[in-house]
Amino acid sequence: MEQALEAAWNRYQAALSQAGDPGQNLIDFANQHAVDDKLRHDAVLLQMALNAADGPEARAAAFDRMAELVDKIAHSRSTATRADIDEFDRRLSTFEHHRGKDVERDVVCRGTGLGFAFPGGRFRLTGVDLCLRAGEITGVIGENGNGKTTLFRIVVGRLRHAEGRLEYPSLDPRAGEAIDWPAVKRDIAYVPQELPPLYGTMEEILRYTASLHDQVGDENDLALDHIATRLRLTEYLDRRWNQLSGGFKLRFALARALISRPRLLVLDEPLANLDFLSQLTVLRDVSDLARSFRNPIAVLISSQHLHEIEAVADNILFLKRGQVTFNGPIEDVGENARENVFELGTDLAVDDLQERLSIPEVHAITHNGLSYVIRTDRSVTPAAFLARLLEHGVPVEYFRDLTRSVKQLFETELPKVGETV
Amino acid sequence: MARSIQIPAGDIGERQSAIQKLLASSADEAFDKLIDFASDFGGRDHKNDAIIISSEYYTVQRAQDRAVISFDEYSRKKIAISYKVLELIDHIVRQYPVLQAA
Repeated sequence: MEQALEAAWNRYQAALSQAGDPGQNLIDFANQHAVDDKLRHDAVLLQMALNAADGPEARAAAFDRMAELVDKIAHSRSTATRADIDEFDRRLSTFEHHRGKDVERDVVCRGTGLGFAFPGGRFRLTGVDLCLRAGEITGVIGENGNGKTTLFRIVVGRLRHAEGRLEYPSLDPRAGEAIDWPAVKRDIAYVPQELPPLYGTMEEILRYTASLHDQVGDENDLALDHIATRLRLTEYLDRRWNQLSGGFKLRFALARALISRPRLLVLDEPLANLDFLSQLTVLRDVSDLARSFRNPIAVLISSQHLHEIEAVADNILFLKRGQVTFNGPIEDVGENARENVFELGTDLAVDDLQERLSIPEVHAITHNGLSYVIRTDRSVTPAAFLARLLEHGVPVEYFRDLTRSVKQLFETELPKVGETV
Repeated sequence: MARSIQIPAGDIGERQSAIQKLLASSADEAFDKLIDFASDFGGRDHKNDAIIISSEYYTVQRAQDRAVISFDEYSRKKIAISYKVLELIDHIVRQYPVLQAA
């Protein structure tokens, strides 16, 4: 049976090669070469059939049909009419025209040297610079009590900053004058860490919020259908707040924020209390909706889920005791690192691990309570280090290069024993 | 740019291709992206159609989850709905230059 599978795959590959595009999957191949729409659609349906194929025989059959489709696509090109070819070329040129073209990144909010001190308290937020652009996500990270929520409340106008300058260039373009808060706040949606209860059914709440933002009549219906379907909430529109789980409360809070069509969305610890799959869904939704081509949104988000945040954030702002210790594009994290930092999960004792890694390039091995953190010379690549671990029989349960991870910001800022935060 | 793979929001061809591929591998995500695609590049009717098609898919999905319909019936309906998705995104791509010029 394996031979049959291989033969079918070879026929498919050979067919692709003959048509001039080896190595591309069938959907790409059809998009680039099939003049007939039906053939392009068939490519998708065949890919579905292949993914759903149960066992090698079904896979072999799917490959056979794919090879036939490749033949049909090649044949359709040679027999297509001039009009078909022109229409096809026009569509491809549409793609080419828009390839890589992205939204204009308007500055929605800019803060320079922002600061705030609570009266009588020891905590003080100082010197925060911010630039929030439409279509970009800025992740704010830091330990609890380091000023993230204070910063967010300043940005959304719930707390007046004591130092620095705050502007909303694309929301309130009158430079040099006092901020027109009623106008600015219409374009800002804030989802706080502690979600306040909402009263009424979820449909009533969403309709009401849309109507407050001038979406009435048919527009109100469309706005509700759009956000409820997009966030998969249609089934829950008749529920009340206390009938929803924590995950759905957050999704409704997000729906309520988005239905107001904000230009700036501020999310304070939205992932807390969510299970892993819900976290991924929320982040994917926020990322997709923020990067809309037609209505891009600037997003400011805080979270303790570092790996997830660094996957979606364009910029990172790290707060430590009310001060910024890193502020820049995600690509710049670890740019000037003097050492490589690797995280290793293994059941080896530290003495044993030290013995197996006793080379000058390894500078330090520490344990953070869950895993080892190993600092090495910059010349030690992750692949080479992992290879050495395996060569020396280290049972690797988990391995991660932290050098360019935001987690590294925490690792380098860990207080010494006895130091208070 | 974020570290996850991001397609430029304005790249209509790449976004069409992403929906086609997700239909085969992760249908729920494909329907989310269909709504975003229609909102970004289509007109009001396209957006409505995307919502209706997605709702239809979720209804069929729920019916399958609750064993109201057989797997064969679910598969047939899913293929029919997927075909509607492919036709809609094609239509949006064709109309996009016209809508842009208007």
